Parts: sequence; C-alpha cells; structure tokens
Amino acid sequence: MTIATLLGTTMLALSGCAICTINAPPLAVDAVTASADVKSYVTDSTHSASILLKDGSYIRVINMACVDSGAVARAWIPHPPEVGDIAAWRKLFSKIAGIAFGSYDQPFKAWIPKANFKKDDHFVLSTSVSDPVQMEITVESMDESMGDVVTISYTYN
Amino acid sequence: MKKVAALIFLFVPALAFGDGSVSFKKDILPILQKQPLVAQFVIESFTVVGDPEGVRIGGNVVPGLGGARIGPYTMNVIWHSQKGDVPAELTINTSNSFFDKDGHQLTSDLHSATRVTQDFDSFTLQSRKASPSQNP
Repeated sequence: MTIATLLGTTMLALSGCAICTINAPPLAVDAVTASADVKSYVTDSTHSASILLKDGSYIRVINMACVDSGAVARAWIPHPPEVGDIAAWRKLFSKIAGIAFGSYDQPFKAWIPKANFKKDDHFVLSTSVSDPVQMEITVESMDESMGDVVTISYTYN
Repeated sequence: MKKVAALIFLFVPALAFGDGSVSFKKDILPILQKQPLVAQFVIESFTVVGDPEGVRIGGNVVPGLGGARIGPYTMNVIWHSQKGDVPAELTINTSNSFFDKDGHQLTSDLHSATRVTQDFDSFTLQSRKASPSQNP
C-alpha cells in the first residue's frame, strides 16, 4: 500500500463517504520530460513518480483523489536558498510546482508571487490559501546540514 | 526551529518478513541500474558505509523464495554535499512484483511465489550522527 492509497483512504474516512467520486489528476509526465531541470524520473504507478533534478534535488510527487482531488510534491533541496531570500524561494516553489504538477500549476503561478510566506517555530517558511483551490507550501529543515524539504500540495474540494 | 529528522517520500512496505544484510553491488546496484541516471546519482552522491539491510523473505511465509532479500534497503552512507561530507542513512524503496511458477503475477496470497522482480521506486534520506569509525 502506498502513501497515496493511505491518504486516499484517510480522505475517504474523514469525509464519511463510502464511494470515491473523483479520479486523481494524471501525472504530468509531459512537463517532466520537457523540463530542462530534470535529469531522470521514474513513474512507479499511474499516480506517483520520483523525479531527479540536475542540481541534485529530488521530488516525489503523488496524485490522489477520492471525494477530493489533488496532489502533493515533497522535494529534497540539498542546497536551499537563504531563508530571507524570498524571491529565490518563490522561484524555487514555482519550479517545483511546474515540474511536479504540469498544467495543474496554474493556481500556483497566480498565487506564489503574492503569497505571504512566514517563518515560525516549526517551519522555515509556510503559507496556505484555500479559495478556490486549497494550496499549501511548507519548508522544513533537516538535521546535520542536509538541506530542506519543500512540500507543495493542492486540493480541489 | 524544529528540525525534521527524516525525509519521508513514501512507500510503506507491504511485506516485512525480517531483516538481512545484502551486498550493495550485487543486490541493490542492479535494481538502480534499470534507471541508469538514478544509479549514477546514487553512486556519485553517496558512499555506502557498511552492509545495507534488506527485507528477508522467510521460508515459512514464501517457501519458493525463502531467504531472498527485497527492498526497502537501508544503509549508512556518506553524502557528498557541495559543502562537505555528511553522514546519513539512505533507504532505497522498491516496487516488488511476485510471480508463481507459471509466471502469473500474484497480488494477494504470495505463498506460491517462486520469483520476485524489483524496480526502483524512490529513496528516503535521513540524518545520522557521525561516528569516528564511519566518518574519519
């Protein structure tokens, strides 16, 4: 059982519905193959892929659905921008969303430039918005100077 | 700031029979080499320290594959970052497919499996404290 299945099951359980009514969005393979940043990728199902970038970054993307539809991309960024360099972070977030979500990155393109990223006790940076599509971006720091983990997700309710 | 101890990208192993040491070159590298650029990335980015651990299939569970190792494979590594070497723990997750003696893929009861194929699925990386013997 993959995380996608687990999350799908969770979404189903939380909703209290007995039947999944929405299919997961397709993997954006065209965007992955077209990107000049991508070194290699592996699709291990119709809804999940591992993407290796030329700069050593690594993206795991899982598309899921049930009563909602969406996707989550978790990216290991070995050499992240400085925390205060918001412009560099915005550029990075846009790049990850474009590669991981393909044409489904359109809401992110509109939102990221004006999103208000905050630093708090848990996250290096985080922000979210819920209208009309729920989007969330978080940046967490790994131990031992191993870089950061960027998680970008969207959900259509 | 709360640090993230692990970088979990996915995959809950559906089968957990036991742990057993494996050879990186003999058991893991051939799986990675199905995706040559992934293999190249792992080889260039990490130096494996010690013996990797894989999941050992018990003969009582799957008689035809008793003793065989499958992923996920976990190993201590030195990550060669641009800022220097960093001790870490790398897990190679695999997609495992089981087949019976007639070549039919099994999806539930694996007792009659006689062959398993493994493909690279993803990797997980987490930090590891350096020890003098592992990171001179």
